[in-house]
Amino acid sequence: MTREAPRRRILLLTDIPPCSNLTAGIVTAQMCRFLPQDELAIFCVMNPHLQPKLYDDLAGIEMKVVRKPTELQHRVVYGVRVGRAGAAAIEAVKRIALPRGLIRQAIAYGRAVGATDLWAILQGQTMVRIAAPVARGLGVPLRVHVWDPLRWWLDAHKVDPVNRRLDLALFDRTLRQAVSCAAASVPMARHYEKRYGVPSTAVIASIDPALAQAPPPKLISDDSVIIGMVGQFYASEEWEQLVAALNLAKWRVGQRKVVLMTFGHERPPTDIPDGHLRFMGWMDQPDVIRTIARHCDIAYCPYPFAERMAEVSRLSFPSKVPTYLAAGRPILFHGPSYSAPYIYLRERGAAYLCRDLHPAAVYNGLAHLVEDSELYETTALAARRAFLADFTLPQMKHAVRQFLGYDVGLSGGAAPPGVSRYL
Amino acid sequence: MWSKLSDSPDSQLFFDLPGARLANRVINRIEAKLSIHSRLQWQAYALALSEAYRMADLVHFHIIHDGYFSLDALPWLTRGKPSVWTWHDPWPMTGHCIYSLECERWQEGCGSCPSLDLAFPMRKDRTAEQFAWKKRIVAKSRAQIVVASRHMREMAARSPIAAGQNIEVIPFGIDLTRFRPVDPQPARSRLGVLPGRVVLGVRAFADSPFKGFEYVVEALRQLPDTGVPLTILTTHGKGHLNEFIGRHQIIDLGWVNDGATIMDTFAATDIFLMPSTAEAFGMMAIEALAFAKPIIVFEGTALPEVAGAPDIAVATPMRDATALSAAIERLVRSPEERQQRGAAGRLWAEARYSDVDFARRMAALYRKVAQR
Repeated sequence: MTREAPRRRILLLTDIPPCSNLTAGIVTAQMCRFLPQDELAIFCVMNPHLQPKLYDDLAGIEMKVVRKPTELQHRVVYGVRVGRAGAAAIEAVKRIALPRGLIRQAIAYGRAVGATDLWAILQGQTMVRIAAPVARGLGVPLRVHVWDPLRWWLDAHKVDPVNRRLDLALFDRTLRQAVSCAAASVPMARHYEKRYGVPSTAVIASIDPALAQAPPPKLISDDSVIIGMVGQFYASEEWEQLVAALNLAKWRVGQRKVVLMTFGHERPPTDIPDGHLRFMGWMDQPDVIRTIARHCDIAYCPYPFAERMAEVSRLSFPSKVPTYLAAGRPILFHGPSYSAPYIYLRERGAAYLCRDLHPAAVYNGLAHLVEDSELYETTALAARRAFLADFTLPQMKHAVRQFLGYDVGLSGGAAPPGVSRYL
Repeated sequence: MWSKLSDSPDSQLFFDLPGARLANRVINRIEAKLSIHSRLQWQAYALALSEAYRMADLVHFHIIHDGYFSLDALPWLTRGKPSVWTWHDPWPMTGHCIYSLECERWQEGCGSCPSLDLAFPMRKDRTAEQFAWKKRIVAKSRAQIVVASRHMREMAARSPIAAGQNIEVIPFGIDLTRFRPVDPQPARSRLGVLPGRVVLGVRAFADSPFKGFEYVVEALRQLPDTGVPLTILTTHGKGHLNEFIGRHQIIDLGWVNDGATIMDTFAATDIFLMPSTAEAFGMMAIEALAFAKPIIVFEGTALPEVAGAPDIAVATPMRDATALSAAIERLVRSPEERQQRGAAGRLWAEARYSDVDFARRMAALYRKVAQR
């Protein structure tokens, strides 16, 4: 008589559900597809302003959505100026009062679905405040998932120094309590393993190999150069330097006219002269990949140089990189030499690397890719190879299942065979 | 030395006591308020207590006017040991400035200074008093004074402060086996120079009144389209040539500390622009010459002499951006002239600026001074 393996039920605690119109939702959906749907349930603590488009193929996953409290710290509340101290006091009250209800609801839901593991995405202070108590309440192992260092989120949401320190300490404790960690890059996985002793695996957004494009490795036309840019303008300072350089060069490289093509919800934060911007809006990832391959000569990837963003640069990995590599176009990477994507792209030779913020540096990178056809071809072909080696779904599946405890026996932080050690 | 950048066991920090650097910063602030310089740092007397001083046969003072050493200690210290004092710039001969530029008042005792804002700046005009103080210090000191160029010796000959001093000229030297002509391509590739470019090297000291960078900017504005694509390779500053993006390739290296990048900068350069408006010697000029690179300088500083103008370096009239632009254009258009001036520059450097010769001449001077 054979015994059936005990059935698992993973409770995903997230602030963005698997969806097709938000980057984090796309990656989460990819990860969910690696699991049997009946072994997954989702408790989503969501910002009420978001309007996620859910995937039909994931409709079988049970999900409960609750409202996420505002995480941005305001100094004016209902028209009353509360100042720094007032904002900090309000945040202190929120950190004590608000998580309780969320924790209670998540535990009740977890019990109802028979959760055996908690997969908690630690994005923002609210998720950090509730993850460990929910796992404790359910009596299940905590598996944490980190997209970006918390410090960056707290800065972006203007959290006061006292609450910031408390949240960072809580983040540290949560990582120490976890049984596994999904990190945004190999440097992050290594860092968390070393610092917290938690077995960590790099889980990078990946793409179906069938979507990979192989455009001719040369510039598309003789009289223009089109630069693609996907996603949000987190690295706004770097983007501004690119635009400044192009303004100084009168939007030309040699005799070629330069056009920026941007994809995403946001319009570029800088003024761009008429005829030099094509704002494509939000497109599904397969369309983005196809459009970049067909219409863009170069894919631009800015990453923050600012000292205050050093931790993010060192540990995070931009999800636009796999998209660019799948499009088979060379990347113009504009970020610091210590950053995780710089180190990876240098190893793979899939980008021209500008490790200086200033306009002259980024313009030089552009000029190199435009004027040196041999360099362009080499970089484009390397991009294709990098995609196939490191960012296809089988590699991601391997990492996700390892993180969630399906494929045990592999050492934490290890990259699957053939995959870059620097991802 | 007051600030140590290397790990060499051969050099030692002077007055290495806890809090000494902080206290010195406070002293410098007090000096700035009082409009005096290099007077209140009485730790200079403590040099006599140091083992290095006590064990020495001779003491060689270099840049002692950088705000950590009271010159009042100099007469006493130079009486204790045979001493040499290298004047790296004209500050010992002026009422407050490092370089006086076109001002001639240092020949008359200063006072009524027209440029109190020049380094080292003064709030109140105490230049005449400082001048008189320096004159007393130099007269009472027993150091053999050394300068690196005839230009500086000629200044000393006109200086009331240096009157009666026997000034030796010993040009600085460099390691000519390190600074030597090499294939520029590997360096250009490492620095990101676009293929097929003529490379102009320049020090982007945008805020210095002495380095003449503003004349480079103006000369580049006036430079006609020669049909030769240019790369401007800058050190020391960033972003000062942004207006030329798209017209020329601009590579800003900023402040360069590592030797390998400095070597790459010289190796990658075709023409080195050094139009200083004041220069007592010009180390970068002799380094460029050793790399067989033609250089362009302004007349009226030590550079024409040091760099062998007019046969080797091209010297244009002081502060004349149009002439500078014309000189750049001529060398850009003529690879033969660049090659010929570069080769001559290397021979010039070998004949005058070897570190071996420099060491030999200094050793001979040390022996002479020690035997007095």
